[in-house]
Amino acid sequence: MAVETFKEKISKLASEKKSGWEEKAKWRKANRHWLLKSGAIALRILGALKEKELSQIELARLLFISPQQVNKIVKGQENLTLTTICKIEQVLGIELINVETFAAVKDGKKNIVKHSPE
Amino acid sequence: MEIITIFEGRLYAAKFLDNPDEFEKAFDSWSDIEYLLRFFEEHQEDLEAGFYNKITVYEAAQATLHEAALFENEILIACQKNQLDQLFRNLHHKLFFRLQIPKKKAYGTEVHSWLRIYALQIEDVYIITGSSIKLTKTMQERMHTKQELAKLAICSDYFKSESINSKEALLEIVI
Repeated sequence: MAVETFKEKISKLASEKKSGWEEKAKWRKANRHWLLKSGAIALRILGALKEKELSQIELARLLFISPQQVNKIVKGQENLTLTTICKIEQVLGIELINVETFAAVKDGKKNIVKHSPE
Repeated sequence: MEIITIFEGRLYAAKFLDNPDEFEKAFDSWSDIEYLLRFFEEHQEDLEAGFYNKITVYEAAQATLHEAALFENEILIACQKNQLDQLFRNLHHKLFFRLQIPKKKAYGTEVHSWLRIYALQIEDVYIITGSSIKLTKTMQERMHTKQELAKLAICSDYFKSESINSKEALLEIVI
């Protein structure tokens, strides 16, 4: 069977619909950095839910958001805002991100002054 | 079963029932942390069997997320450069006869990758039939990988009957 003949055949055989993969793959590539962080956050949340024996529906109720939104968060596919992250941290009693706050920086400076040479 | 175009004349995928096509489904699953964690919890014994150095389910889910991203990018580039032959190799290492429609597999990018994409090759065209996270030595050992062998066989039979035996039947399917 000639290559062209087979290619013609499979083109005819193939559905009119095109796969959604290429578009999704390009989107995932463009958003890779935050998607990987979102995935790591999702894992922490799923771990905490298991430990506290809480369901996603109960978490949604505690956060005043829809169960669908919680499901998107635990799939690691939500571009979370700091407001949502802080709310989840408070509700579950876990730390999701750790950035030096003003108080921590101030404490650090105090230590530097204390230990600097005369 | 439907055949869905991914890259015209190069890459196609089988679509079963109401699911997304098998290629789209693979990367949707591998970028879904909830799915990955559930999968590795179900297959925790295989993870703890020693080959993967007793990795935890959380580490396995995160490693898969990272690797799937690299694998997806590799395939995207291979499609664009028409280099799919470099990704796919024979499904069976020791094959003493030539299959009419060769069964192929592509591995993830890491050395001991557990990500697999399964395909049939006809001329220089690949038709994706499924995917798996393979944690055991053989595909026959676990139900989810056994199902992938069955899907390869179903698709191979479908192509043999439709492409070779009857042009009329082929046209009926197109309509």
